[in-house]
Amino acid sequence: MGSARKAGLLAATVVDWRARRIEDPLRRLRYLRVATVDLRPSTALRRPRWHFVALAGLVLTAAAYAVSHAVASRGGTPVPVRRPPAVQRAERNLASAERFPDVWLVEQNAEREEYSNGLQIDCRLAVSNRPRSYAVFDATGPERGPIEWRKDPAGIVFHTTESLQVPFEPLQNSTLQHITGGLVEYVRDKRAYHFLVDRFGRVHRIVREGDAANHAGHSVWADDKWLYLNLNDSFFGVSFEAQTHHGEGNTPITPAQARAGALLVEMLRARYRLPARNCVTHAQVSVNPDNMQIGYHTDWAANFPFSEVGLPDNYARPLPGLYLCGFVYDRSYVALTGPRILAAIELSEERLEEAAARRHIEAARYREYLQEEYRKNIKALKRETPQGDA
Amino acid sequence: MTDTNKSNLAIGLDVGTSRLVAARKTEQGFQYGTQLNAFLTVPFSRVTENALKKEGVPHTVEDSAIWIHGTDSQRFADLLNSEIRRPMRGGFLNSGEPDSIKVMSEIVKLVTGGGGKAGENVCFTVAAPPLGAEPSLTWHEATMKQVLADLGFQSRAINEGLAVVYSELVDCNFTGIGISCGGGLCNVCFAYLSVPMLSFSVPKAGDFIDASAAAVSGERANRIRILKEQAFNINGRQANQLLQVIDVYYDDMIRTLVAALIEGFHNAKNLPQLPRAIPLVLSGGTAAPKGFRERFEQILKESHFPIAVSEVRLAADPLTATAKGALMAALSEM
Repeated sequence: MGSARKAGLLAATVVDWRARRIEDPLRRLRYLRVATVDLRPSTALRRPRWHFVALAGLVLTAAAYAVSHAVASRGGTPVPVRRPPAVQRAERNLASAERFPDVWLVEQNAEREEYSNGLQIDCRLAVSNRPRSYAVFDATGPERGPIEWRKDPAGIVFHTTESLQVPFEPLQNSTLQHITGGLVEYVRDKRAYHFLVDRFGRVHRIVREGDAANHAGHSVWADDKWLYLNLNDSFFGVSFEAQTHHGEGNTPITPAQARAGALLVEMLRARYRLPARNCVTHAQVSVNPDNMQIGYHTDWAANFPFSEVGLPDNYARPLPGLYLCGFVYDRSYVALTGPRILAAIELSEERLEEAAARRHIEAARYREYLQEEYRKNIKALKRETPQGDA
Repeated sequence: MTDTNKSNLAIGLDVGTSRLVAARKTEQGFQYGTQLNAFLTVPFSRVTENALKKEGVPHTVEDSAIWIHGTDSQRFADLLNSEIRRPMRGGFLNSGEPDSIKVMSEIVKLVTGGGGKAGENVCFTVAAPPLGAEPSLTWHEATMKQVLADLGFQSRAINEGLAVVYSELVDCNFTGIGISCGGGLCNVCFAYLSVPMLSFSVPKAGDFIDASAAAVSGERANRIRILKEQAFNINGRQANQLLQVIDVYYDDMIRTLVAALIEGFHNAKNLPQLPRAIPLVLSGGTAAPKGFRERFEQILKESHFPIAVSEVRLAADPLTATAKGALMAALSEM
């Protein structure tokens, strides 16, 4: 059986299992019509990275399918649930103990840095931005407001540039170099990322490590303890010169990019003790406060090679935007992400429902409450720092 | 707007060759309206018009004729010993009936209780393409959309067999085979987790039985239909020759349907791998007579159907299941 077919079966099993837990026939049908969107042709389009794509008037068509309609509301005491194998596997994969690599700077000059793991960084176009400073919130009680201000980075957000791609072959060498050159200058002007990994696997330093970069916009992530809002300051932005392949498929980056990405991640994790679980993709963290949906940006919505860059499958992690801030998802997000994030959505929805049950309120009401708290927290950030205004 | 108010703005409309059925959600459950998809024209006279008005019979006057629409056309056809006319034939708008669109509009008005209110959504059923044919239903679907738009409704279409699945297979997560046995066609849809994976129609259904039995017995097709719907039991042991003729053609129709199912599923590509046997549900007026389900199941068991079927069931209400499924589809998008 092909891997895509296997993945499809896995996703179908999860969807089937979850739908059976929804008693109301109409809600069940709504849920299934959202969750099975990748089985049917979809015309829904999302906006990729804002930096490089003309706003051609393409809009989402599926907002009516917000998950708040799709999920059965349940109050009362939490009921232990038997998770399907796909969800159990995802949880097991994420439970391994954290180990940090050991990497140090070997040599450095104005143009170049070399590290003990073989990483080389081209620093010729490095640029400054505003110094890093961000607030963290208590992930176990996101309704309590910002509780601490920090300057050390907390993780990495992976991006794709969504820029022009020509075939990666010797005959295109000069074109490839020309495109990369223009791209590096463009992202430098925008202070768009901390690092750019071009198609030859060369790592370019863009914004200096101690500064914030404008890479994540409205975004949400959390680990066991902390909730992070608008990650420009709190997370490094590492972008690959590539275009996202939506749905299940191969990774769009070259082997050289994957190798360089692994070395860069290793160095950053070693230097800043970044937890592996905080190294995630833009599609996992991006949110849209206007319609309260996750996945406003969908770069690396699927096919990020977590394993090849030395990370666990973080696609399986529940999405804090859903369970800590009350955002919802729609059918086009599911269509773009594929089964790996679908399992994460299931976990997120479960977490939200369990939290609601612990508070003896309906899931839908608890979601509204979280949304309100999110808005309050964003307002508080805006008052304090520029990062609040993503 | 509350969920209840939103629900009031949705209508499921089963547009069948034989009948139109409209379903709405109420606080008590589902509410249905039914009209025969037929009409009759009689020469205009003031006396006739007054009589129709007095009895509240839906009609319009045009071109020196009185047009009687919907279910009442049957009664008058019986009185006048004439055949009703049908705006649809074989599952689609009847191209041989020049007034089909106008009549459809009147019958839709009757069954939905008038024109559309602001924001009112209709999900109406359409037939699947015949087995082996390319989909080419654009004209029928587009015309129905236009009819509904002219009445003030927003509309979208749903496959008839899929509507049966939405109505009857909730317990199986909308996975299984829905078959609507109507007047012009039998519509088949295999859905997997609510997604239609295979749909086709078989152009042998109730009308075939009526016309064939009428040709053999010399009875009017109308009368055969009424007999079939009111008192018929498919058990192979009929009290008179007419019923025996109907029984024979029912058997023929069911065998054709089962053969088409085998062919359709045998030739289908990219069907999902099914972890368990799936149910098959029968619906529609032609499936309503007693013994239909049993006869179908028996013939299916004797055949080499390539999919494991867990059970063959009859819709809770075969006459309204399709409209209810269309309503479910409309509500699920609100």
